[in-house]
Amino acid sequence: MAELTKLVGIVIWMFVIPFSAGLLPCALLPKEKRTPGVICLAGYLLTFAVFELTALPILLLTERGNFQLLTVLFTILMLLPAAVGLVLCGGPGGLTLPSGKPGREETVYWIIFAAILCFELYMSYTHMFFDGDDAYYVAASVITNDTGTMYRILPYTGGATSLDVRHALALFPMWIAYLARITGMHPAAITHSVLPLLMIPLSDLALYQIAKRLLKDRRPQIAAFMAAAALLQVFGNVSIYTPETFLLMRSWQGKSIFVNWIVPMVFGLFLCIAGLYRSSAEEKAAAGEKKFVWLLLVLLNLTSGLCTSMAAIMNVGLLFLCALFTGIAVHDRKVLRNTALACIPNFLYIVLLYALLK
Amino acid sequence: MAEILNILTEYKGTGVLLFLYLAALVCLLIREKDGTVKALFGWLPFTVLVLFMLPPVYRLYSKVESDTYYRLLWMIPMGTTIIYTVIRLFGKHTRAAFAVLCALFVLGGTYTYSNVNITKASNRLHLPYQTVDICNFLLQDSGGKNIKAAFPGILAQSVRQYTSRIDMPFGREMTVSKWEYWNEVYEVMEKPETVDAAALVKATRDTGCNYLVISSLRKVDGKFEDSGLVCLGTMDGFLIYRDPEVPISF
Repeated sequence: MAELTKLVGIVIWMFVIPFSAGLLPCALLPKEKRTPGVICLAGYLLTFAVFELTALPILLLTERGNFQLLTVLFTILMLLPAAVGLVLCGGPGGLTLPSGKPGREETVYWIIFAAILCFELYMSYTHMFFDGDDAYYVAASVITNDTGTMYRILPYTGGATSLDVRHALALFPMWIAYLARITGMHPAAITHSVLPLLMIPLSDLALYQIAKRLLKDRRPQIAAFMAAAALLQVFGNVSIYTPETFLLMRSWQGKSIFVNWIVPMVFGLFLCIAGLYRSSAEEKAAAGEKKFVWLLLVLLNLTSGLCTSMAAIMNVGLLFLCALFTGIAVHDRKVLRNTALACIPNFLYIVLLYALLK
Repeated sequence: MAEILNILTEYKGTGVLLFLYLAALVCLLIREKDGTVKALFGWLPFTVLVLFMLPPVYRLYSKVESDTYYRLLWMIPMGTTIIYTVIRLFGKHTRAAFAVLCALFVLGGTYTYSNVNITKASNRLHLPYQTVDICNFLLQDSGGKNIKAAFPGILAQSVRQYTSRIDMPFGREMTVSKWEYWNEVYEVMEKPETVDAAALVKATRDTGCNYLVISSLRKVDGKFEDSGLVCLGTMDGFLIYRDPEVPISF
């Protein structure tokens, strides 16, 4: 019974609430673009961004980082958008399911993709991936779950310490501790057994958004793209540094989330932005859709800060380059200006990091 | 420049995927008609590659972090570019494109799950069963009180992933040689081939350890019991000792 309760808790807090919350930003989109994939991506971005915004002040302003306060506050702050999202778009016709029967060739590619994905998930659930960095990240989640403090105890050995600024601003291990606290599961079980089941499909979902835009809705080619991408993940361990290695062997770490989810999301969003700001399409494009992509870019920036401090800095660089090249390609300065505005959270984050390190 | 090339070589690893990517990038820059795609997947990665190769950029990055310069390459969507370029090259012949991609990845890549760091998990925590068993035993023996215990390096990395109620004199920081930490318990417990029992007990006492866990296969000069430790038994190939002279005071 206790196991069932934990499972239900995971399903609700890790899947249902983020998805429902994703309906809120998606209310800006026209109905035909509110697909489950887009809602899912928006929901997790919103979840991570809200967590970073909630946890950072609590970490810095309360004594020893009051995790109990964070748990209560974040729960309320996530239930609100989830409830509003469900009211706005949760009813019949609120979202659009994929339509059109796939052809034979497309079906074969999707079967290959699904088989590889299932294999990856099976391996991640049944196999142990030794990585030394877990001695820090997982221990940080365990300490927080056990003691109710954040980054005030040495993860490797125990004992009180001052705030470890280099790692502390990237609060992804605290989100894991939150899930552990609210579901009753051990943080190591959430990290190693549950998170890969979320992060690997999420990475594929981000790649799917890119494939859809690159291949302009040529469905068999998109399916072939996804099957090939999944195969590359399985055979991408040419060194310990590749994104594919990080995805399959340490998908629960912030750096893996940055390279395998945030970076593809950035490229996907800029392909979308380019479509919206091309001069011929600009008048037709709905204002809501533009608001949606810029909102997502802000959430993406906040999420990069949750991954690692370096990710927050690198994301600004990547966004600047993307905005520059996209702006040139579509001949619109607004792309660069709006990107700069979307980067304000990260500018503040970098200033804060610099001030705390000093 | 040599350092940057070294990092690039390490990133490339054993496979040919980096060369495949460079070929795909050139192909995309020459053939791509869509301006946005060419800009985002051609010129942008080309710029990142150029920046990556510049020594001033390396020096600037190294001021912030020294070991992670390779992560600049993460901003280049290598896999996406290879797959997209091959699919576009083959046009309507998607089946042929897919077959070529499969061949390239399987023959030119490395199978992730053959990595030596991957083993069958013995529990849902994906932690060594020895860690779980020994930690449970120690916490039971201490009557549920927080304790400090010296573990061998092989287990030290996973103990605090299981419980924060066991402190340790050293942890993962000692197992990464390039970090160059020094720890008195580590020096006498892990470094010598034969452990000096009296020296180890002195070190564990000095650091306030209530328990000592050591592999039953380690060669030990002397007996821990002679220094006052009490052997509690063997568990999963590790000897467990309690030190009555260090009271549990957490």
